[in-house]
Amino acid sequence: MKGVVLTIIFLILTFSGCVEQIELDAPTQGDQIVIFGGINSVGISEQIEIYRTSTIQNRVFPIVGATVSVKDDFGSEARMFGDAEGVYKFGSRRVTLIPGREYFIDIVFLNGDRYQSRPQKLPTARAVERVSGEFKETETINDRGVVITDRVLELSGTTGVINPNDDDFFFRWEVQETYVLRPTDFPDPFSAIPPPFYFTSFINPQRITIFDGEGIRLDTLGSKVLGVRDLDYSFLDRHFFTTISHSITKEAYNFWNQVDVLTNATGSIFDLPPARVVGNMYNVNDPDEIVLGFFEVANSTISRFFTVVSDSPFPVPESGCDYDMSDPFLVYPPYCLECLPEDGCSTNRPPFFNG
Amino acid sequence: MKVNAHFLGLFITLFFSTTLFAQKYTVTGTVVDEKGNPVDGAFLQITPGNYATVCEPNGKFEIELEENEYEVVITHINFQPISRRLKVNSDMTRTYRITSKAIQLEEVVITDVNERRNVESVSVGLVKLNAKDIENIPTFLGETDVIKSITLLPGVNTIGEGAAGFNVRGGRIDQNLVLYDGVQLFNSSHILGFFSIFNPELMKDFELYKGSVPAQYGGRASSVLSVTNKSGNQDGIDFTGSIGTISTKLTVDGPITDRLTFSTGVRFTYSDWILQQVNDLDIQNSSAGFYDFNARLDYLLNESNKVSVSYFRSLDEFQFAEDFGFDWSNEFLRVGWVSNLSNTITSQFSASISEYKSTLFDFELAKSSQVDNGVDKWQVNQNFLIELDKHEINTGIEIINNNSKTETQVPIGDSSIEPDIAPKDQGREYALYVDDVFKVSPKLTLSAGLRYTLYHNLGPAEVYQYEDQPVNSPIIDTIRYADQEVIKTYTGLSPRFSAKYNLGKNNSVKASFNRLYQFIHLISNTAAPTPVDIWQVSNTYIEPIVSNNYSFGFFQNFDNNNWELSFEVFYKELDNLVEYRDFADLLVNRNIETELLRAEGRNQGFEVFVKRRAKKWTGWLSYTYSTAEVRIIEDAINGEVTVNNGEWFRANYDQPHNFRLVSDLKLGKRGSLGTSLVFNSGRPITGIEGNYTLGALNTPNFSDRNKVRIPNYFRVDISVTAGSLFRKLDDKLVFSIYNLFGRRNAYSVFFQKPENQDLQRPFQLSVLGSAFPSISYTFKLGKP
Repeated sequence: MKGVVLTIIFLILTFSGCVEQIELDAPTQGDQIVIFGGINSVGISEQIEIYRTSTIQNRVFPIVGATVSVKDDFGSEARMFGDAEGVYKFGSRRVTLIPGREYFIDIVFLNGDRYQSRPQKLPTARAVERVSGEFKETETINDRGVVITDRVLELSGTTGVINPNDDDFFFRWEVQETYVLRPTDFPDPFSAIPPPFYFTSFINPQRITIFDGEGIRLDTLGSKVLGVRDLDYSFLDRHFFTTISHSITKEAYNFWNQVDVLTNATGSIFDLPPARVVGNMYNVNDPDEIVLGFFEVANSTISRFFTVVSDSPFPVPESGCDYDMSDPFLVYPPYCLECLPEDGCSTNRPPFFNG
Repeated sequence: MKVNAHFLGLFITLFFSTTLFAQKYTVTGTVVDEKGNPVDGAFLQITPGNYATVCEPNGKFEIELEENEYEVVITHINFQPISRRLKVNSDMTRTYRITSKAIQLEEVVITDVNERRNVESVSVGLVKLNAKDIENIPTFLGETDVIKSITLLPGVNTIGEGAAGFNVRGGRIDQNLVLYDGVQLFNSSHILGFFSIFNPELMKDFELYKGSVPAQYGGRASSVLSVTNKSGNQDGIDFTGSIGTISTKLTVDGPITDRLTFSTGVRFTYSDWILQQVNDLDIQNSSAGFYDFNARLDYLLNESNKVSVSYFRSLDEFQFAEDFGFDWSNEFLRVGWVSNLSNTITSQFSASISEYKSTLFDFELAKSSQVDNGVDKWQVNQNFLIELDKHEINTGIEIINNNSKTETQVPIGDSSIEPDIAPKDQGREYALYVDDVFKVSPKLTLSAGLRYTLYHNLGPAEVYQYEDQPVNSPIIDTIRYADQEVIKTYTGLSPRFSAKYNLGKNNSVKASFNRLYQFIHLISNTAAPTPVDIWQVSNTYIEPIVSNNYSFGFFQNFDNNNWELSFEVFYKELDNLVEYRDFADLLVNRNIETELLRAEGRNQGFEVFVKRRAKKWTGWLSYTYSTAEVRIIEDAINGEVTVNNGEWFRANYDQPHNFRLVSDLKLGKRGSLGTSLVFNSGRPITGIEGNYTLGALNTPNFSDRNKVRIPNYFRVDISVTAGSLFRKLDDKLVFSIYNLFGRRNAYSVFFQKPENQDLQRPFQLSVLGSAFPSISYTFKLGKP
């Protein structure tokens, strides 16, 4: 009898639900136009990316040579000019953004295809952010039940709402970091010191932080987490965090909310069924064509915050860039050696580093 | 009584018999009950000529009649009278089957349980089974279960283990009218759908109407499942107990006095210990439990009147780690009164009140909250069953009041969630119906019915007025309605028709048409229904579902009814289905109509069913082809918001190919081997067609709705039953293995980024990842 019981218990122990990656018989679709970008009142990251998707993973076909114009409902317009990557930016002249006016983008491809966005009214409401950071240890449990401890800087923000017309408001936040790195100073006959590298990029690009203020009349929004940054060598010197608070349209909020639903699905049975996110772009000649992406018009503000090494209660890891004559050249990390613009690196000192 | 009956029979026979000079023949025969047992003391009156006789204790009778055509009326104090034609032109033998009045007093119309029912019944797509029929079907964790059993029948599906509800012939789960002792249920599942709330030890039988639905049933657009519990037996106290891997059951029934019987049962689970064995911290920190309790009293006022009182309560508690949890409960009290007003008219009255409650707990830090919803319901029904020579008429009135509870959200602990409410609607249905089963000739039977429903959406309520359609249109006004004030009225006239024609002795063809109205909708935007889905009555913006159901079938029995064969074709068209715009937000939403789209549907398919009925081996094999499609109605939304460009698309529970094999093989005198095999096509989901980037954000590009199918479902279960382990007990030990081959069937497919990858990939969630054995022991103490 004991043997039977043990056998049964053994069999029961084999019970488990499981999650595993599978392949579905779903043909990959390519050849869809993606138009994404926006304009904002602070002029940060004002650009439009235009490309065509492909059936090959991570491969896209940039659309070059298009005529891109941003227009408003008063007839003003400003051109954007593209590069070989299909990224279009304003030239010397950009459109002036005035709250309450409507703006849209008009794009004409070389083959004559014409795309426009539905007009977006620049909101009158604005968010003014007060940002703070806290160094802390966070714990996560991996699939095997092992507790993983990370040391991070958690950025939080309290938002003051400026809402002159008492409108519904919708906010989106992005956080950009800028830090300085001393490259490896190899010996040279002139004892020249290489200029510092300034790295700028958005932190947590997969994170979407938005707020729906429909029907809410508040002067201040409570504290919320805007981003989390792992503690590493970038904190050895001054490390700036620039929070860009975008006041966006309801349509833009819905777009980001839907993208958030898709990118943060947990796989539970309670997840909303996924669907294609349809933005505000359309083909003027063929309205049935599905155009991916969104053209955002935001009334934005920025706030800046920085830390220095002494702020961290934890030891800050070394960068590995200090010269050691015993180390061969190849052991130095690439970021110690070369400043590549595509990595967000520049040797130009940002103005906010002065002072 | 026997002596009296014999004496009476002898007296009547002597009194009425006359000596004639015509040629006489001897007619012998037997009168049996519905189970084939002989009936002692049945009285046969034969006209013309006023002949009569009384059956012997062995049910036999013998009488001499001259050549002629007669009408034989058979009566008995405990049985329903029947009338049969008899043409006498030689010596002959006849067997007459009569039906117990006790069954008639169960307040539910019982279709004659015999092996020829599939050929003789006028209903298309009617399945009637009792507890005995399903007890040897292999089950999950050894729990015999009504709903799991019916999903082994043709035309009935579920999307997988752990999914609440069932789909009938392409219908949604909320389109099934589920009745428990005549009371409508809103959630008949335990542990998110692994089991149903019907205690198998108390169940007498159940009927599932897949095709033709009699006019006394209404309010749902697809099918009717009616589960009836046993009343207490009159012969002595019976105890039944069952101890299984996951639950224990105890039932007791018997007489209190000569006229009063009781029946009660409780079932509770102890499933947490299983969760502790799973090699996953989250599941180890989870809990799942339930109980259900039934009690019933039956009081025989006199030979013609019987009253009954039933009470039921069930409670489920489920918590997944420290993430979320659910509670849900059902409770009802029902009073029934059955009265035989005359030999041909029976009155059946019932009144019930019920409550369904559900709660969602979200324990996410800073957002932890509790959301409550539910339905209060009351229901009154007065039915008259009129049994004439060739007619069986059901007519009556039914009033159903559904009052959806206000949906509330309250914060838990230090949550930053603001309390919120979303008031819900009240709806009341008044239905008048009549239904007649007319035996036109021995070959032809017709059933025709009509149900008229007047529906009121009642206040108190605030109804938002929109500039245009609620979707994508601003609110321009709000109209407030007082308590019980009529907000919106709908009416529905539902014709029901079915016909059966016997082509020969052992085969028949049947056809049916039903129009069904549904005034309550399950608002659920997840792949599988969850306990917090909202029951929404029809209102200004949500019109009642209307379905037209067509069925046609051919039925054939072979080998002295040991084999049954049927082929049924069905087509269903539905209007006013509720569909959801992409990313619909349904939780605590005061303007839920802004998230809903009006749709139409069409379901079609056929079923092939072969059944073997023999002492040694019983089982069936079935194949169903069934499709369920939906299309958003363009004019309801001005074309601005639609799904799949307004084209037809498959419903998310559509599983075209379904194959079932069920077998019960007797092993010796006390054992049996049960086997079942299930195959379903994978159901549709919305899949990823590619990926694109928004700046640095990788974003999946999803397909049109429900364009991709998840892998097919396949499962084999076995069970071995050993009976009579102990001499003085009516007992059995059941060992079963669910999912014998340990196949990882997809319950759901979702998309996530694999570790260290940027792009989302499909993942399959299998609720049961391996073979799952269980053992249960059931015993019965009491009369043999």
